[in-house]
Amino acid sequence: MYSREIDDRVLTLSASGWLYRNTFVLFDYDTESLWYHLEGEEGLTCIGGLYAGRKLEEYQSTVARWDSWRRTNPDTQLLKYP
Amino acid sequence: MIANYRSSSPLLESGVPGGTISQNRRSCVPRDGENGVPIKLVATLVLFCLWLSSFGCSDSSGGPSGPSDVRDSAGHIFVIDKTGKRWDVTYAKNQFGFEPEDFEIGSGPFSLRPILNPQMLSAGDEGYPPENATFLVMGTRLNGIARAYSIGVMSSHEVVNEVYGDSHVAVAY
Repeated sequence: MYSREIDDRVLTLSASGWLYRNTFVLFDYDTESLWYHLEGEEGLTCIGGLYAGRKLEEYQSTVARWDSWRRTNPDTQLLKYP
Repeated sequence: MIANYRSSSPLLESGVPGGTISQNRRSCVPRDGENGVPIKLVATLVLFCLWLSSFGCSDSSGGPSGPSDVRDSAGHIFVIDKTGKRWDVTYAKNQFGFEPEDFEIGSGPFSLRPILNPQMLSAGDEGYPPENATFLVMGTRLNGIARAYSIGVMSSHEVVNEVYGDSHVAVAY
């Protein structure tokens, strides 16, 4: 999970349709900058566009089974879908 | 975290050029058992469809080995995806050593649509899963708010544009 705030702007992020070395390349609708999680680095780095070289901060996330996640986070919400 | 690409992802199914093309061809071939259509007409139709689909094969989006990359007169390097959209990767190459030919799939910016206005279920809501359900989720906690996203949903959308209190975040898989 990453911040999508930069310079007082809130970005909308999306997959770009590109995969680079088995990792999705993201882009933002607002400036069409490309964002990528560089190996060995925290956060998303802008690899092209208006924010080239800038970073979006990373927040912790976990992949787990629902029963296990729910046990340790009894107040958890779940994304409603569709 | 952004997960490595898996073969179960819908992106691959829609992203392999060969797959898309052969599907187009199939749809052009008349079904068996159609009555009263002269063989010659059927053959002509098939040939016409094959001819049409050959335009699909000869586009410049590249094959499974990677996209075509082009340079403009100013020396900028672009990769071109299957929708014809050009992406400037000059900075990625010069600053981080990205190789244009290693950009894969290129299914276009609208092939995996992000979730823009996520709605949440809380305990007690209809549809909230039982405690012993075992499906996989991506779990997050920020600003005192805990949320989970089914991995199946994340595979189809890749990104959820979220707000946790006053923090705007992107949940990406």
